[in-house]
Amino acid sequence: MAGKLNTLRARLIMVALAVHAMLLPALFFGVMFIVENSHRDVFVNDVRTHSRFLADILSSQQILDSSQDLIAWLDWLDSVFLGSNGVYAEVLIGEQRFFSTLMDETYFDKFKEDFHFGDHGDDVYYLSMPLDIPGHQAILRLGFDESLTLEEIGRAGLRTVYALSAYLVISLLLLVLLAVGLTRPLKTLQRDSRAIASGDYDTRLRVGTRVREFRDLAKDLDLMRDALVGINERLRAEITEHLATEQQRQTLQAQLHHAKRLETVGTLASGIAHEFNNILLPIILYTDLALEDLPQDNPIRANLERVMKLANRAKEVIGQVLTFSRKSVESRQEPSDVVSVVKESLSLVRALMPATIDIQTNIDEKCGRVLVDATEVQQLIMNLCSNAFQAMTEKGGRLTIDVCDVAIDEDSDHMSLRLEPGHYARISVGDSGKGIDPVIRERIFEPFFTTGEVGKGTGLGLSVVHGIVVSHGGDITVDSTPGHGCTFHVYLPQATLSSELPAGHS
Amino acid sequence: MPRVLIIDDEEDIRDVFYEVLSRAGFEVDVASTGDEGIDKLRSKPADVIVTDIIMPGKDGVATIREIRKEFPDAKIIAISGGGNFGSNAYEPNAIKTTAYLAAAGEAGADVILPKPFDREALMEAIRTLTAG
Repeated sequence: MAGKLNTLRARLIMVALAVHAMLLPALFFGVMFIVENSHRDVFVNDVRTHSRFLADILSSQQILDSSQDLIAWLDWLDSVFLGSNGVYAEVLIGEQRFFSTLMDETYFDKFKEDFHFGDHGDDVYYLSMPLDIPGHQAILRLGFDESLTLEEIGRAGLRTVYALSAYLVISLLLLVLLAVGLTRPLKTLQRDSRAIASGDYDTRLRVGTRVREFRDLAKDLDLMRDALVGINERLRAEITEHLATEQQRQTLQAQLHHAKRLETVGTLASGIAHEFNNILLPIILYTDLALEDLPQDNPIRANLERVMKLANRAKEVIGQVLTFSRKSVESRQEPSDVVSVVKESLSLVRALMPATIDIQTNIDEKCGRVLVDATEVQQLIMNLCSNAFQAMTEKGGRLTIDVCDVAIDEDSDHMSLRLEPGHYARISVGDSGKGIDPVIRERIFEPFFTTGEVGKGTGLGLSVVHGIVVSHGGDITVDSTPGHGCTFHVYLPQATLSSELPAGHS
Repeated sequence: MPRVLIIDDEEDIRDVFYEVLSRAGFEVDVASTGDEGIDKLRSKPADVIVTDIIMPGKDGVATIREIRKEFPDAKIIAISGGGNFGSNAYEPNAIKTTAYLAAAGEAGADVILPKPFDREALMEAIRTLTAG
């Protein structure tokens, strides 16, 4: 209930009712006061004028000497009842009372000394007036019927009530129309702003009225909506940009993490390699001495020769670990024709691969010279091919070797590569094997990390590849869909003119 | 017979070198630190000095530099295990062997042998130096 009273309509109507409750009685009583007064004044003036006229006539007729004369004189009293609303006419001479013959007998004793209109219990207005008759104390007493005038006043009151009621009805109707006119635009505005709030930003704010204040309000709210939509769009753009930046940052962080991890592993591996070399050296030399001491036909020689062979294998493994962790200063890099280096390796690969492996190549002959250690790049290709072969040993498959020229600039889509802008030779080695599980993808370049069966590989092949690529200032990526094989892309920087010159090649 | 001085902190390596070189007929002396080696050289000069590069205390590079200063004609073979070394071996910024090998060469080593090597490589190096 309280809620209903708090609406604009209810308040307007309540205020109007309160105003009318005070105004209408005031109007009514004001009108009635004026109507009553004017009617009374007309009535009283009328009867007084009439009475005075009669008193003047009676005073001027000094014919009271005979009874005949007196009767004729008294006839004048009858004029009160002719064409007038008189009901009482009496002349008091001394102690004698004379009445008009036309007077109703019921009024004989009703006269009262009371000169008030309308409030003395009957509908008769009585008045008395002294007559100027020499030698006599004469008083004229008259009474006039007020009822017609009172009825007239009553009718006037009724008309006033009708008029005021009509006024009340009309003004309330107008008020309701005004309230509706005021609240309808507000409701329209409310509906539209709710639509906007729920995300429909294209809604135009309308009021459907010609009231200027509402039109101005709608216009201003529209401006506000436009501003909000603008701000909203800007915020959206900023959020999108922020998300993109954040994603880029995360990618870079992951790359950095990966690189640091590889570097740490490399450092660790090279520390271990150092210790092992110190141990391997006496093993190799002591074994050599022991072999020297034994006669050629001693059966122990066979065992010692195996120790020697294994120690040499350990030496090779350590050499590979060091290749992974080594920095570029150690390799002998010179500008080489990458295509011929790849082709040389390919002839070796073809000789080694069984017939179940279909080798496909796509080599861009125009690919320029690359600043490389040719031996190391051959090792790199051999390792990648051997890795690819191992992924396809069971069923055979397709080995692809592609070489192409790639330009990397700051805007290009090679964000994941840690490379300076420039021209690169890209060597891609792909297989149709089982692919790389995304879970282990981060770790494939770590030394001794292998998915091959025990005894099938050292787990050093890819870490050696990684070491060679990094020492050449290149980068390596891997594309893989589990079940559909994988492709390694090796990027090696192409030699620029300035880097070629000191090497003395033309 | 030529005289060879072995400087290495690892006992096993000193022992095996002693054995190998003694058998080859060299007169062999050993020292476990750079300072000890220099002292021995002062009391009794050697034809060939074989020194480890990575050693606690005075390392091989400093040792070679001192020997070269005091004995300009000494024949020096530097050997190294490769990889990183020293107390900071596992830290990312550890000096790499490459740099050390290069430093040994600059300090005056005549031959640099990366470990591990076989007997023939060592004998070949000593033969070359003593023949000259």
